Amino acid sequence: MKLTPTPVKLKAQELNMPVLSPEKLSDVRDKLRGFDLGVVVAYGLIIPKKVIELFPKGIINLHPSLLPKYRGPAPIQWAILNGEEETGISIIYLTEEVDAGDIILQERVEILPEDTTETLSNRLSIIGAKALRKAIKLIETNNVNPIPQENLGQPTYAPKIEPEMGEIDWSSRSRDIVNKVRAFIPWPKTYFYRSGTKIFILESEVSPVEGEPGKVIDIGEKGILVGAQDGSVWLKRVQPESRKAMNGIDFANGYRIKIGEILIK
Amino acid sequence: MSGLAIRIYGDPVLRQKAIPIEKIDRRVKRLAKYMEEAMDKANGIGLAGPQVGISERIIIVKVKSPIVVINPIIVYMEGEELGEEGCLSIPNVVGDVSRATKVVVRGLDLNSREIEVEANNLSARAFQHEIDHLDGVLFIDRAISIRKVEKF
Repeated sequence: MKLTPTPVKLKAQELNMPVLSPEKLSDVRDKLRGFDLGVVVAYGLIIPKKVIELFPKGIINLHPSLLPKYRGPAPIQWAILNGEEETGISIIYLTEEVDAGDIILQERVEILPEDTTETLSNRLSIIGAKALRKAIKLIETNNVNPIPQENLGQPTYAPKIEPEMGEIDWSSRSRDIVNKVRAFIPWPKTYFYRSGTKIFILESEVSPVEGEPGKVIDIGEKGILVGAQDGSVWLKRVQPESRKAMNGIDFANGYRIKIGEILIK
Repeated sequence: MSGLAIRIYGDPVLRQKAIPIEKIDRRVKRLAKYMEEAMDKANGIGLAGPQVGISERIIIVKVKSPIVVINPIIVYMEGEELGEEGCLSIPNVVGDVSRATKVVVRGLDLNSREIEVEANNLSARAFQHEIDHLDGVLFIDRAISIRKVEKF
């Protein structure tokens, strides 16, 4: 097995900056001395207090939500899942309690109806990078006015997404199904079963038309229309497991889906 | 055949192309009568054969008095207007559809006589909507937008 360097590592090498990939932060503690400020973005390990204390100005962290909402590892996914129309980024001081530090600055970002976790993450990372520079400037010039998160409301949590959460329950609301499809792109993707084959949903749309949950109401250029609890959902683009992605109508033709059939395991 | 149930979107018959009626016999006359009953019961202003599960080319339109046309075709169209439409087979949904404001429909009546019906405005809209049903076309295919209607 070979590890592929991350874009961050490649950029750092280009800039002649040292890169460390420790299994435990305490292994490299001595190499973290001599810096004013630490910046943490999307880091998987818990950072102990002893490491935070190595940085005279502390460590700051970019988190892609409007904290205290959506603390935890999957804030973008949960914002889309919950049908939010707005989210944002927060830059906070890193503390031992995860995602709970005082806020240095926040930026609001609109969630568009067609956004997926993929497209929204891309926008948030660009906005987040700019905001980080701004935050560093504020710290450099001693202009930070940190706001405790408890002043902004109750925290909510965005736990890890598991692949099994992607199975579609046709008796949910049509809007919730479509939000789940969006939230689970690019990973782990939502799916349903058709004659034992797992079918991933790549693109979907709500329709106000009514139909029995899981029933194929219509097949057309737009895709396959499937009934939900209220209204229905167009499956516009799908991907049968270990096959290529295809339009809903091509899937319907290729897999002989019929109007009136019920999509069950 | 009494008490014909209206077929709801998701029933394959609504997407089938209906076949022409070759002989207007007692069966067809009875079908027309039952279709009118089903339409009245549902407070509709038009109904097509496929909507009661009969994939044959018969429609009824009732804006003022009921008119049955068998094997209808549109021989003339004029004007264009965007208007709201709904369908007894697609409950609780309406949409805006552009239709001709005047049409002339040719076909047969229940006595096998050739007739021509000139229809305007709402009546013209209803004829176009019902004749679409005979080709498996639904108003939602032509609508520029569709939306839920709140139940009364």
